[in-house]
Amino acid sequence: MKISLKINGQDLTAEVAPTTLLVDFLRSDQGLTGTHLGCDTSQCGACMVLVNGDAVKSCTLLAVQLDGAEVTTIEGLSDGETLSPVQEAFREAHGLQCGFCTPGMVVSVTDLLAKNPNPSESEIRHWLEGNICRCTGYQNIVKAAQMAAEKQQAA
Amino acid sequence: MYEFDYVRPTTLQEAQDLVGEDKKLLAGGQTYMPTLRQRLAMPELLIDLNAIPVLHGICEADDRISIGAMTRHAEVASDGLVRSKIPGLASMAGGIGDPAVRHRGTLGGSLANNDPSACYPAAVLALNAVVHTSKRSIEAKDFFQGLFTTALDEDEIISHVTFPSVPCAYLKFKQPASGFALAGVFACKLDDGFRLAVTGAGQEGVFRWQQAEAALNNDASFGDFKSLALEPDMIEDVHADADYRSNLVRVAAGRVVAQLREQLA
Amino acid sequence: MSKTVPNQSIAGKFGFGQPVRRVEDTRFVTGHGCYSDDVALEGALTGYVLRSPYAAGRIVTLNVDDARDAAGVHLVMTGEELQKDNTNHLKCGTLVKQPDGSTMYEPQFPVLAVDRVYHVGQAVAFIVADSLNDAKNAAEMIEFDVEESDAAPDFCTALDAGQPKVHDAVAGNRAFEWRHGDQSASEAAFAKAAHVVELTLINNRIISNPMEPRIAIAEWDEETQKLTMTANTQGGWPLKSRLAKDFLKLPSEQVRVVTPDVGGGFGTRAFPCPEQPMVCLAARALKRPVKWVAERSENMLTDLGGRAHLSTARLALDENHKITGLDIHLRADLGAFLSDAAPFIPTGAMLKVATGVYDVPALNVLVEGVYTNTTPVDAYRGAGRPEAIYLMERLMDKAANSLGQDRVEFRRKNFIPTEAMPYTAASGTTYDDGNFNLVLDDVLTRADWAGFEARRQASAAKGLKRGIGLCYYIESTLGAPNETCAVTFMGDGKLEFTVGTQSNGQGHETAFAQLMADRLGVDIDQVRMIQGDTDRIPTGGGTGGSRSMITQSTAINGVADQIIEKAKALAAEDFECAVEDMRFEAGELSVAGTDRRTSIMGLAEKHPGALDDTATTKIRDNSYPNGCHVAEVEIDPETGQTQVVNYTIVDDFGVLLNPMLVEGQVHGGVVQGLGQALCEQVVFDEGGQLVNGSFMDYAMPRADTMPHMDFHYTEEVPCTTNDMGAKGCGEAGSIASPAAVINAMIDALKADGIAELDMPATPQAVWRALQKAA
Repeated sequence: MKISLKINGQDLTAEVAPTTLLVDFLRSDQGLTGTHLGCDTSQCGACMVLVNGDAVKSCTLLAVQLDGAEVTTIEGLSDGETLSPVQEAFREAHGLQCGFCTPGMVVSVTDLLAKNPNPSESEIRHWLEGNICRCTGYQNIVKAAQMAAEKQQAA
Repeated sequence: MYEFDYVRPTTLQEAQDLVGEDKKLLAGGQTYMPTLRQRLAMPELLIDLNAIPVLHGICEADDRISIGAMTRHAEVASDGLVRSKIPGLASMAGGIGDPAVRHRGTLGGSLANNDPSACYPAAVLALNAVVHTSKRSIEAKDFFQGLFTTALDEDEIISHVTFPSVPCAYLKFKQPASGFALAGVFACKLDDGFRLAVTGAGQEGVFRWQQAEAALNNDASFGDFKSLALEPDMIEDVHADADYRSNLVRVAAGRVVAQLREQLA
Repeated sequence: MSKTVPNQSIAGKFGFGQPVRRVEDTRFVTGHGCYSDDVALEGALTGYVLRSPYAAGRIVTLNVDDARDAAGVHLVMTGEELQKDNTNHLKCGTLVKQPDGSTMYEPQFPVLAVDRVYHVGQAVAFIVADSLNDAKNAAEMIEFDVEESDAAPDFCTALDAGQPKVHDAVAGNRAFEWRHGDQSASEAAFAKAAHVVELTLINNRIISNPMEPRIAIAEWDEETQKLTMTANTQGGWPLKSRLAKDFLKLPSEQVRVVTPDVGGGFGTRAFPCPEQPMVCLAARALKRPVKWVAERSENMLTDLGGRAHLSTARLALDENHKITGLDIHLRADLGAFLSDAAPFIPTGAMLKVATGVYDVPALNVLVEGVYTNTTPVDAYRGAGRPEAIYLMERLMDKAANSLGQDRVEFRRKNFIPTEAMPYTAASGTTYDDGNFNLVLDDVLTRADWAGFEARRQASAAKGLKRGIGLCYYIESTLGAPNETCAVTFMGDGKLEFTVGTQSNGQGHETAFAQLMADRLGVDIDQVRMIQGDTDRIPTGGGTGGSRSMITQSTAINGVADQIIEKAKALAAEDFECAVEDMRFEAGELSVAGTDRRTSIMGLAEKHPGALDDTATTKIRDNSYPNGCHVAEVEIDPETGQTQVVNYTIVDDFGVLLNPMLVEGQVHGGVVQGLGQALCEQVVFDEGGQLVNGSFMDYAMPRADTMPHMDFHYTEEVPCTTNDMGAKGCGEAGSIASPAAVINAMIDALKADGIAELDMPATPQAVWRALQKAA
């Protein structure tokens, strides 16, 4: 089936089978391997992308459902060489170790701050319920979210 | 996944004309997509409801709040009308899953599935909401018919659900892996008295705790939920046995009724 | 001869000791990391494993004919073919010796099952097809029947009389008996002890669940007869030689293992798994690349398990409450087969710190390995040391509580005094140094241990039970003491250096670059670390046992020393002066007393290849990181739910190269330990079926359930067994947190008569304990 959508600001048209998951379309068809597959029960959040501005799990969407939609993946959050404030904050705060959950975390935090620019620690931790990390113990991810919030407010 | 065809109608009528045996509706997908990925279902056709405008939206009509079947949990949680008029419903929706789930998951999808641990059935049953479909209107008491079973025909589509505007509260003890309810109690007071609906605990799905309702109707300050019988057979699984689950139901009831009392005062 | 202290004059300037931000992060935060599944492959086929749904029994039918003919299928491999070719055995590298001198028996750990199945999830057939869907469709056509027999899935009962046998050749499911210590001295100590305290506990089985699933990709080059494997390993060299020798029957130069970015290892990724030979043999047979990726539920069912010990420990004390003896009886679940390091974890590894930080005159240890009809178990973060410390620290608290002693003072009384260092414990381990009172005093102050009672009362007023507990841990780093570093100057002002370790997220690209840059006096972006390719890097000890920092930094120091000497000699020639007149400082070589100078990079450019060098070094001994964690909890007695409300850490890791990375390792380890203590457990039913094999039912720590951690460290006790003065930090967090939090919970509940609590101390477990005590 034919779909037309925007990915990271670029318009594109593609032929996809109905059973193609969005995550597989992004990774295999589009070569955007930054979005990761970490589980099979839609719970780990490693596959998160922004669809029409909302963070969603790309393993739980069919590519065919994205006709007419705007998708932003982790690759689309930086502007060329310039990192977004959230990406910069993750690096600054050591909010990642192996990096596998990181694309989902960054997308999730990006969405949080768009909706709640000055979240409390508790609000950050609750927002991240759907993002599992096995390496960091979450503390520096929370710190990254707080730093990013400050960066964005200062800007 | 097994192979299937896909269609995305833009009107309810189109969807109605298509739905039937092996031709399944796709709402938020938060339950159905994992089911398909694990090869636990083999539909021939998936009918995507996400592009039908009439199924979305929240409005007030005749003192009741109408919520479209495809309205996302995040929308219900943040909607001003719901937050002020049915506060327990908004806070309940805001606790379903995680933000990504709430951006896609829907009221209609949750009700049609009737997962015994889902939150919405408790709200709908307690509030005596009415489920409006492509064919008829079904009262909450007739809608839930057992584990993963509802009154819906195979070709019937929920269009919207209407709720009364009343003080209400919800409290859920979460299963620590899935985030579903180990015990979730929705409490409100309608014209016919206190209503407590329990999810996550009963083997046949959501139920009203009649003994607790009777005790409260008898004495609105009642608080000794431990003394009451809890009749339906409790779900037993690796997370909670029957005793612990009943305990959680009792504790949740006590705490949520206390919250309701504050609202009623 | 290596330097004995880091160059103080440039310390700090070029990065040593600084929380330098990671160089690898730029690619990770922008989605440009390259994990094994991201590697683009032309013409790759997809592998899928058909797995046994039965825990035990004899294979009656395995008919793959229809599957072989199915659409898109290129190959279906079974155990029968592999058995014929003698390529069906994953060998164990750590068989232990038993008290009678015999080596334990090793049952065949097959790649694909033959004759019998031994656990749910055991690989039965391997299908290679055009797509995963094709492979799964074909799998459904395979006729697989088993005459089921009774299973013994529970390691707590598998040794009991009358239990079903996992392996015909192994009586009573006892894989081995292993002893250490002086049994008669121990018995004498217990006989005359003033007090004896006994504790039986379970160290619960968990799954490590790195976020990246297990994956193996094989490519075969028919022309060069070479196999390239891409996989998420913790160092590809052992896998390379295994694949070459045991499966492909090739000289090892014909096998290359590439390890790209890895999404978490935790020990689980260090050992061979059956799918690795499967993809290799398939790729060679088909002359096309074959890729296999575990789905998460498959990963949960078939990844190596961790922990799973049932232990009874007894402490003998004299009338002054000083320890006179320790007796340990440990039963360790090995699963159905022996994974590579499995017998070593509960024996040699555990033993290293079996006596903790205490002066224990007499030690007696008996370990029994137990076969069960479950997935094999092997090392998981800490590998034997968390099990030892959890047991010891729980026992110390029980001893103090049951004797009415203060838990802190009781420990102090029994500490190995600093003056006694280096101290050889009854375990045979020699701790080089340690100042346990220094660390303990610090953490007690920071945790406001003294002010706890007031906080307990404030919680009680809210109907909550509050408790505080501590764990003083010591750990022993493990692994090969040798390591190599090879430096190549690129001629453009930059250099590349290879390492024999393998980062799975620890930040090696930054830490080692920091050190190299610091030693050679260049900027961190002038040096680039190379890892993960057995062709490019001929040997390496891999990452595990918290060895990476100390061994690799020793090799980096070694090669830097050599390069500086070579540079001085070369510059002396250029400047036509005596070598003794050459100075090296901050990246520059200069003739003493003159302004004649050149940069080391400039020198390298001028003399291509002349400064390239390799060093292989060896650390003198393992290091002994130690520390004290204090956990404070609040328990809701109505639901049993527990919040960790404070968590304070003071660690002694000697000298720290990058404190930011160290803290990150501790955070991650602590939370893994809290997960084990509060919510994680692998549950098998009586039939050996895994009950909680997905994230729907296996509860992982999440951001909203885990506490803020207050981390501090002391650098007052540098390590004396390597020239960096560093002690490995990767596993310490997971070693300390289980006992800290369980001791805190028991503290909260002891007024209700609860003296013991097993992990995971879930809300239901706590509630049940309270009901029972009432």
